[in-house]
Amino acid sequence: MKLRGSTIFSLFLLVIVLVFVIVSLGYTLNARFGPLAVGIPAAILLITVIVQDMKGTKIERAHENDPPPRSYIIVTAWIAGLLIGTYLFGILVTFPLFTLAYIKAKGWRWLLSISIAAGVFVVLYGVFGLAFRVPLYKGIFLQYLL
Amino acid sequence: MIEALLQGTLSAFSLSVLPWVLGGALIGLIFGIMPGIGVAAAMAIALPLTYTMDAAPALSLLVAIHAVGVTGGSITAIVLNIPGTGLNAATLIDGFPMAQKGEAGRAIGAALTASGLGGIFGGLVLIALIPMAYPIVMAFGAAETFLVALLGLVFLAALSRGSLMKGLAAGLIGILLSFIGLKGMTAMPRFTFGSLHLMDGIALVPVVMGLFALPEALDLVVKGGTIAKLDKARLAAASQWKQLIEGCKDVFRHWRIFLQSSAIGTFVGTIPGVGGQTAVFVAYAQAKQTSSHPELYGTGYVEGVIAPEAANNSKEGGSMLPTLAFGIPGSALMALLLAGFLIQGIIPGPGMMKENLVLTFTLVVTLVFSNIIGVLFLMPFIGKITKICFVPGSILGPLILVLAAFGGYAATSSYTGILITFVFGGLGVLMVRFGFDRVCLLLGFILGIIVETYFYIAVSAHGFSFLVHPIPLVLEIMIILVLSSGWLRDVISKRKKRA
Repeated sequence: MKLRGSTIFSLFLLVIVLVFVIVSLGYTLNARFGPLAVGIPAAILLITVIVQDMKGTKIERAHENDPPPRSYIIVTAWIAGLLIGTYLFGILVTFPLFTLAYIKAKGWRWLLSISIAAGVFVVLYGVFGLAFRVPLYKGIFLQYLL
Repeated sequence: MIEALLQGTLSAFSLSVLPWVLGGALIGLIFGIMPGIGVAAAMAIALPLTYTMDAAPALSLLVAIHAVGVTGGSITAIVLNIPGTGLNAATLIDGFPMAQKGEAGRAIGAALTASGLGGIFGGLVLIALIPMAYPIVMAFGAAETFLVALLGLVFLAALSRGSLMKGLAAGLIGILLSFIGLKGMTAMPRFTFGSLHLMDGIALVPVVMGLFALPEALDLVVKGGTIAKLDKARLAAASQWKQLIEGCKDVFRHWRIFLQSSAIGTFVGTIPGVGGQTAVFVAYAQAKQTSSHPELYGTGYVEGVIAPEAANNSKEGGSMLPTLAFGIPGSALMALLLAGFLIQGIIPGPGMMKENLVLTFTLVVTLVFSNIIGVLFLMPFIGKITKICFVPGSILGPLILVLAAFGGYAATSSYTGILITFVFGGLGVLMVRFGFDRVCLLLGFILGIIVETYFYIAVSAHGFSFLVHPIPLVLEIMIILVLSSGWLRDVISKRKKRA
């Protein structure tokens, strides 16, 4: 039997629910009552969804105008870059650079890409950092250097 | 009483108060629009300013920030699917699809009108309730709060689009996620897996940003195009003013939904601890249940914008009642307002209604007036704001990604906030793809911990006998009615067909 994407996702959610249920068994009565009262019906519902899904004859077709899977992989790589960059170099460096790199990579002109990235920097540093005094995450690399 | 009301009105429009109200409204709007920063931050920043001010301008400043903050958040919810505050989360369910249809102007017009009028509604109800505040607020204890929150959860079934079972499962998962951290009456950290970052639980803003903003941003990035999907959208953009007026008219066309949602917002607002998010989702779900076109909700239907926005601002009037009358802040924002009172040496409580009645009415009039100002401030910019819907996805997509990530960070002041935003972003993408309703998960996440906490308090205080107290009985009947309403509707429609 071939598993469909929706079945795999429901199974993934079921695993999460079961983790909550199993972990809560180690808690005191007060602390485990809520998770068990919610987790058990959730698990039953998800099992029903999975069974219905596996019994169903509907063939999962790609949505109309769906881009190829490759484009999702590329976007995931960009997001991974954003997360890693932010962790290392902080918000003030990574967010404008990410914006600049992405817009330029999509074929827009340098002037436009740099202007938008500069706008992001001004909003982050000027508005949030200076005016609203939000402490901007520096990243472990800059934290180490500064 | 009427004399005090007149004096309060004059005070609210005096030169010593009015500029602060205008300034407060502007600050509230700006902070409301900024994702993740929130109105609480604006009030906290403004609080030190009030030390050297007189009571009326100082407290009017805080009330104006508070009243208008949630109005600004609806704009980004509609145009970018990024709610400025958690309170605007319900607005995006229909607001963003309207923007995709090229009707952003109409959605904003409806949102602003419903917000402004809802705020006025809440303020007027507050004026009417002040003389009889005591029995109303004191009637609501933990048992009643538990049942009101439970009533909100029962709407999961009504909110669910597509598969009911998947909707309910998503809602229950949301409740489970709300248990994470050290909270409630359990006195022990749950599901933190040793992480200190999870000790406070998962903040609402990263969850909302992840579930709603990121999937749309990814869609834009991967597929390209613009937010407004229709080819005719550019034509519609040329007449944003017409759309705006149309949106304003929509509130009067759907007056029953507006009044019902405003009443729900005011009522839920008076109950300390339930939270504004409950009010907006209950109002949305109730509007959907009683609408003649429930099937249109979630597809970009204007009633779906009117209901949460009316409730959003009307609840402010309700939530001021326990704060002014008893010194019981019903929310974090009201706690900040209470701090403002204490800075001025005024202790809210029953005495407030006798000794500071004029000040009380000044604040109520400020609340009403601020809602009007907030709308007037935003109106001239609508045309410009809605043009965002026509910016190419390859430019807007990364900007939304960055803005959502920053919103998640700003709400938590930690890198974990960004990670949580993207984790919920991934979850949101998969939920959309496989037909699990994100709104149900969000509602469960908001109400889960409230239901659990107040259930324990109610049981500790009364045992299970609280279930047969008069107000809980009424609420239980309402819950049963909501649960059976779908079935009742089917029976009635079948009988009508037979007849």
